[in-house]
Amino acid sequence: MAGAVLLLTACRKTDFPEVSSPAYLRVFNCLTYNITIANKDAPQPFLTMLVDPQLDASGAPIGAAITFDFMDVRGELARPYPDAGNTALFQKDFPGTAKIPVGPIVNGYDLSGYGMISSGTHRFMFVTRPRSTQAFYSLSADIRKHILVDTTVRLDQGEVYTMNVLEQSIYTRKTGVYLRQEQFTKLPLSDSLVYVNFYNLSSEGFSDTYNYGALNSWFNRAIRDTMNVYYSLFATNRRSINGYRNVFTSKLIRSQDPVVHPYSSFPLFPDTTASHIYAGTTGQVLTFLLPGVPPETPFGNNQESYGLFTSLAIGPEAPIGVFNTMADINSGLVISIRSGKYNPRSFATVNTVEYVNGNLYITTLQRRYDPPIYN
Amino acid sequence: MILPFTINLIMKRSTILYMLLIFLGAASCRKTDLTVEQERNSEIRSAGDFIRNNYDLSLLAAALQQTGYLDSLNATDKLFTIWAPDNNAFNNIGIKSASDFKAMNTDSLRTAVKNLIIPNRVYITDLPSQLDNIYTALGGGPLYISVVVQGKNADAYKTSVSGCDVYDAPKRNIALRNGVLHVLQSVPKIISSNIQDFIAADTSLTLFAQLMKKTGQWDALKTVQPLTVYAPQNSVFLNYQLTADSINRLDVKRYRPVAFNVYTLALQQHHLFSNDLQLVGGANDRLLIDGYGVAPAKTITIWAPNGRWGYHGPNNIGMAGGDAGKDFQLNNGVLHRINNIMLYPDSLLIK
Repeated sequence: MAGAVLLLTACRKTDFPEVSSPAYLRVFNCLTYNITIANKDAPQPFLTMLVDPQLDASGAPIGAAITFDFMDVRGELARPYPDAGNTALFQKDFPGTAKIPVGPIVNGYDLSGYGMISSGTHRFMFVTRPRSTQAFYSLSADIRKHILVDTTVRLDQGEVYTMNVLEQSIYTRKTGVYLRQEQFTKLPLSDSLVYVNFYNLSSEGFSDTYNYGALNSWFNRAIRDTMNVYYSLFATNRRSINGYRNVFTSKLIRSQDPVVHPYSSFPLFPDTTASHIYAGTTGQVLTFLLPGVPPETPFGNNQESYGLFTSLAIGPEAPIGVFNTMADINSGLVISIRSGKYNPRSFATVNTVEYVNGNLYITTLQRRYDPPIYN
Repeated sequence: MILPFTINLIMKRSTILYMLLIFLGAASCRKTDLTVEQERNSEIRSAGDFIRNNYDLSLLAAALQQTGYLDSLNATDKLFTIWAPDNNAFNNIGIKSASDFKAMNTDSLRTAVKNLIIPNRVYITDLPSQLDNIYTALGGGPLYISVVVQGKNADAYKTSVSGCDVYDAPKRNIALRNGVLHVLQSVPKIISSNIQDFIAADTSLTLFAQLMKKTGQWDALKTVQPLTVYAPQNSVFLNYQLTADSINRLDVKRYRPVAFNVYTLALQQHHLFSNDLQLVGGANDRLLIDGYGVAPAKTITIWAPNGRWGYHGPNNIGMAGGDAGKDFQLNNGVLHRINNIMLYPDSLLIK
């Protein structure tokens, strides 16, 4: 009897939200804080995303199909899995740490970093809000009316989308939404190659206007609108791997045209001396150079090159670059993790590197891998 | 429930054991009433009493006492957030003792002290971490509260109220029974008047008023919003042999406009308190006025277009009388009384 009572009360019912005919969406806020004495009272890039909002008679949002609050600027690395174990209130992307249904595995790609949203036409609204912990609808109505972007987009069923909130031009300071329909689920990508594609989504006029002095004296953060990208690979003890030094990857041209750029690749196991199950600790350096500059040119990270050079170092074995993503063996461009009977086993990823107004961001996507077998 | 059942069992088995249990029960049972009969005083640490009993806030207490508002802060049905300037802050604007308030108009003083109080209990963490959050104080005047993300955690973020810095812990987030108190390093000056009327009423700024009229900026001081004005006192102009007569005879067209409109930042729309430059943390941050870079802080630095500092003007421009001259928050902007001119007009003659 008592046991039955206990059983009844112990039953925790979780309502799993269902999204019929979903599209998969990831949203980033690519704006940056740049507070000066001249603009100190301007709205900050701290947003609330509203999908299909309802407005009251005065135009203030009073509800929405999806309200994604506390949307801060994006982080340097967008992880391949949801951040739902984290309880942080301020979000670095959608779906972030919010309890939102996320995507399944589609064609071998883990879409758990993408939120599910019903397909069809949706009205997206991004509202700037005070940088506080107060929930959006408890803010006063006049504060809720600071609408930065109001647009309508169409999302098709089963498709994967990346949405960025971008500044379109530094001359108009107009902000807009960039919606890219991703292609990776439809491409025949090899699982023994690591793929990267590159975008420069900076505002019009950014590279002509901003320089070392205007970016708080950070070295080599501003690059020109057309750059070449080279990669170098490193193995344990930061050993440069023969044949993978300054390999040309692609040309990077600034554009906010939402088309998918071609993927470049490098091998998952470039080191012929190593095992082909576990790639070891690795590192990658991506070097961005003005066309015509030889990749061997010894630029210093802390010596301003006025837009000729920047670099992105990823992983524990990479030498220090201008931008550094401190990935370990479980993260970064090569993910090594316990799988099947192997501990660890290395897997290739599909990545997107986006340069936006002095910042470099990586979005990593992981493939499906076998669950570990414990003997 | 279980105890009588157990005792029953024991009774059946052993009367001696049962008696022992009764004895132990009787011996062990000593119930001391630990509750204090006296009713607890729930009135402790009320906002008003806290200010009255704090030696560092005795001048604020005197101002509240004179306006009859001190006891209202002991209210049990309201919550207050008090931005309390300490005695040092009052001393810096020339108020040295409680009797100095006696010379003041009680109604104006009441508005001034009520402008230090906002309703509800607002800890520093409750404030959005951005500049110039506008809060309406009990005196009606808006308070421009800025929080910047500098410091160990959200409680320690650098905070400023209408140009007056809030002390770091433990002089902030002082919890009270009916609110919270934060200690300010200077006294906010919130005056319900427009800039033009304020200058006209200030006898130490008559020469500045004349200069504004002569250079065609006077009307804008009433209409443009927001504005930030740096007003040199009369003594400053007299030091440079600029008298009412010589200002009247100025041929303004012979000078580059920046010589005279640098005082209003060329009527650009800015709302700048004296600590804003420090809050935004922009060491290289300047406002450009006709090529001249102005870094507006408590000490004003001006770079000539050739990049040199103090080149066409003096190199020691500050607030007249320190805290007494800074941050007059008016209806259409901020005015600072300064102790030097900003640029030498004779360096800016059009040749």
